[in-house]
Amino acid sequence: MYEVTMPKLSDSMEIGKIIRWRVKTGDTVHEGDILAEIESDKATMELECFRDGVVAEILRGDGSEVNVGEVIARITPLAGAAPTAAPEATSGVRETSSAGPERVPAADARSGEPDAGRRVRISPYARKLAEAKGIDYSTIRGSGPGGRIIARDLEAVAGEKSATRAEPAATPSVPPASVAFPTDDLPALDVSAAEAEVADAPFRLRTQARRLIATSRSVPQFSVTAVADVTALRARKAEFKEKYGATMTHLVMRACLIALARHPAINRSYDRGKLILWKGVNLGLAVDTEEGLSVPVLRNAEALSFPDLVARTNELVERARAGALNAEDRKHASFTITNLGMFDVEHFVPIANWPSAVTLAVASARPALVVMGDAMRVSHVMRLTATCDHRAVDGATVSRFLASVCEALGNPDTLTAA
Amino acid sequence: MTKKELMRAYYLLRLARSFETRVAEQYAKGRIGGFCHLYSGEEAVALGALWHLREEDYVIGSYRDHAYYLLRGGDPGRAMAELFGHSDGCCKGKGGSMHLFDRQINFLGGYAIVAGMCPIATGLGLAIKKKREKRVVLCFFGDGATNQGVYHEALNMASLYNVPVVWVCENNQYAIGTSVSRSSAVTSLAKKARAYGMPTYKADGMDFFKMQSVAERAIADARAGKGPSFIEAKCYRYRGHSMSDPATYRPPEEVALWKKRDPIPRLKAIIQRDFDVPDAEFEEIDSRVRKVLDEAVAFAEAGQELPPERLYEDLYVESIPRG
Amino acid sequence: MARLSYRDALNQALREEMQRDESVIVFGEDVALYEGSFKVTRGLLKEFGEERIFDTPISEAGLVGAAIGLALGGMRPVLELMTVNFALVAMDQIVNHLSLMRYMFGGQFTLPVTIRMPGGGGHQLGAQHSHSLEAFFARVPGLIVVYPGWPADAKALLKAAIREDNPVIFLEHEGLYNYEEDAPDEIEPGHLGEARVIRKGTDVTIVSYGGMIHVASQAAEMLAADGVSAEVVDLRTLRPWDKQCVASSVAKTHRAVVVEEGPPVCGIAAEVAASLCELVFDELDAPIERVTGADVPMPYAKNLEQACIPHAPDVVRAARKALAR
Repeated sequence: MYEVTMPKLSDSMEIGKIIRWRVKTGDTVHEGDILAEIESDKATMELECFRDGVVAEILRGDGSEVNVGEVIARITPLAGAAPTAAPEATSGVRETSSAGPERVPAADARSGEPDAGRRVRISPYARKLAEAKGIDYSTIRGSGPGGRIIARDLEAVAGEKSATRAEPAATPSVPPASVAFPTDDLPALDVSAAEAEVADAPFRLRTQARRLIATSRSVPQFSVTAVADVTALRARKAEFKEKYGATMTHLVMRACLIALARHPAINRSYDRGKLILWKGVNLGLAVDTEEGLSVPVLRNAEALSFPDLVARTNELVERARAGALNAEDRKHASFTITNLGMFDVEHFVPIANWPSAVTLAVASARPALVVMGDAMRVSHVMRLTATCDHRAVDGATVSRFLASVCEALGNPDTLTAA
Repeated sequence: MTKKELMRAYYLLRLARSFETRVAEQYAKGRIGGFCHLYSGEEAVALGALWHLREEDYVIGSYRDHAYYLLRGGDPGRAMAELFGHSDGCCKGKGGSMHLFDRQINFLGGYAIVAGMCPIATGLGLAIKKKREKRVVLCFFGDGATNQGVYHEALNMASLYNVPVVWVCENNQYAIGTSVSRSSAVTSLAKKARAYGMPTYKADGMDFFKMQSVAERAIADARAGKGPSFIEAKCYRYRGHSMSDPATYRPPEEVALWKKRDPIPRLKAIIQRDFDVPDAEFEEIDSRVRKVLDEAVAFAEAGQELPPERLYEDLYVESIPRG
Repeated sequence: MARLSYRDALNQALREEMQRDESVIVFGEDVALYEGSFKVTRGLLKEFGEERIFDTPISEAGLVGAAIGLALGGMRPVLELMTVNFALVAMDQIVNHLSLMRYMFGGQFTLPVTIRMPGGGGHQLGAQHSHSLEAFFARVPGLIVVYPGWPADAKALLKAAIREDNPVIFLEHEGLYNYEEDAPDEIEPGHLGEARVIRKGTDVTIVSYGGMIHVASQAAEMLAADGVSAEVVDLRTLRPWDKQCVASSVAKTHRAVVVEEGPPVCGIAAEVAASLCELVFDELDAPIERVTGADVPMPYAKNLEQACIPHAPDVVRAARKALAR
């Protein structure tokens, strides 16, 4: 059954009026015939027939006012003509992004001070200085225009330096560059057409390049490697796969979450003089997609049961591979895992994925001869290398954390417990 | 022409015609937004003009561009997806109906400013000369464009610099609601172009044969270095200027008269006369066209718009910072 | 090192880029035979011939469109519009075609077009010949807008503009063509989007560009004589402009004066002032001062015209106001 709907005859039209039907029930109609005259907000137009068929029903009569998109008639298509479904509503709310991709955070507007009936006029800079020095400026007479208190007026006042975290006036805080200035200090490569083809790096790659360069410049990084004995875990791998659909990645994620619960000092970030103490664990997982590396973030991963962890992770990875991640999916990773274990890699040192204080690289499980007491046995070991932001964590804390991860990996049952 | 070529011409005319009808349907359903200008009735102009082009030639034209794109070899699905504003449209949904473009087939765009693309065509002609290429530029525009200042600048320079541009004027006799006689002091548009010293041709834009014959000559001359020429193709658009124009300024008898000269049945009649092709073969083509368009609509429906995070892509080639 | 004039700097940049890249084509009204109305293209016809530099009819809109077509067809055009005032005739081609075609068509090509335009007033050329239109162009997404004030910068930035694959509006000040400074013999292409601190200071930041950078510099000298240490920042590129550089400077000095030749409403100074409020509000000890051209068409009479254009004492006055002394 082909549904004839009130057509959208102009960009602004919302309601149309059926002036007059030119066909009636039972009439045979062909593509191009005029079915009715419709009045829109702008003009009277003819409603064209788009399918050969027989008019089955007329639902709204002459003179009716109908919303655009509502069904006004039905046509039984002639055999051979493809029926079409009713128009679906276009998908929901479209988010409007904020004005720019990397908007410079506006300095927070100071709210008004307690009003003693008169507003104190003071320049923003002078106010900042006053607060830093702990000076009560309400009694100062300003020498600026209109009696505004300006910086030099504070110089005259002898004030005790506040004990709080005062930014010395000499180091102004300018929000970090939102703009991607030429970030390569390397000289330009001057290649000829004969030796190379030069293509634009895709947008995603250039964004990633900017981020990585900024990270390598701003984050003091150090790495710690621990070796986990995953012999027992490996023995249970097939079982976990069957029971939970779990892969090594899921198991390692869980081990990290268990360890993070014991070492909350790892789950934090450093940002311009502040420590961000995350309330939950936003677990970033590096995913290899057709377009390159992507790091979707599983929010509040610590609250998930193991089956939920598996399901949510898989869903996220699928979306990452489909290129369907949105900005929310990618932000605020408080801890990141990058797993190259599926590629027979013995050891690798990742680049810190700020804001994660710790970015953990997972290598392959490989057989090794392990000394236990006086004996040697064949075990399977997996190297875990944590690259860390030294502004947020130190080596000792990270080492303790890694020990907990290894311990969890050595006790497979704890990983799948609820 | 061989029967195979003619049947192909028939297929393409049908494709262009039916595509526009589908677009009208989808627009009425609210799937396509903004302005939408349909080419129904003028197909022979575009097909005739494009028929003798080579792959490397450039095509540029106005906002009534769906047929240019399709007949140049564009994919109907990617066109429909572009009209839907989806990311797998030929311009990632950033252009819309009036701004199809595909570098791969050398279709260099539909433009919304009347005659705005004319100097660009001249510039393309200049580039061809500078690079000593053998390409030709085909520039499509309507009768209204011949009154715009920059059109004259473009034709003057094209002649002055002897560039390989064929100017194809689709004289459908109306610029929205204003007829040629009410807007142009000189109603022979070819005569206006002749003032710039280039050869001009008049062609029956409702006749595929006549159109391609004239265009063949103009294109060959341009390619041989003889410079620009002008084709005035008299034709008719069956529908209004755009989807929101009921075209009440045209008497229904006039429309009916021009529909009698419809290029599609005309071509069919000639093919049947010369090659004795049964109706069934034409119906098979019609059915193939329907299928292609069903697939195109399905492709468009299955897509989605670019997410807002990708708003700023493709603005600058990333060689300098975005302030 | 040698004395280099603004004119010669531009001439050398064109010559060197034409030598380096065969696809660079220069064209415009009277640029070839006549060697340019400001003689910037002197000698180029002789050296490169009509294949590489040619004269055109008076058809600004047509010329910009032709530049677009040349770029789309694989060349690297450098169009000279005789003055910025005539760009108004071509605004549709610049704003409604050149700036947005790449974006509108989904990024399928680049338009490596450079359009050079002399502008500015002060020579009694009357209202129609004295515009400063950089603000019109700077607000258009898709364009890059450059306005050097010094010869060495002019050479470096014109080279960069020509090599740039995005469309560049390259503005020059008519009053600067004879201005000379010492400059190195070899000048590399500069960085678009980068401002330059041409004078370090601590008490107030003076921001400017183009013809007015010289007014700003003079004002800084005058302020120095009075014990005020002004930092002078030359924007050089107006879109995108170097917010980081200017904001850092103001964060240090706490006061800002922005100088532009064009009229005040919605100008470059307005953009700079608004952005500084966003970026360094807490560092401001005074409102940002704007010193701009008068809000009036440029009159012919010499005294009236001079009253329309900022001079160093105007900038000094503004700086003092910011310092509240």
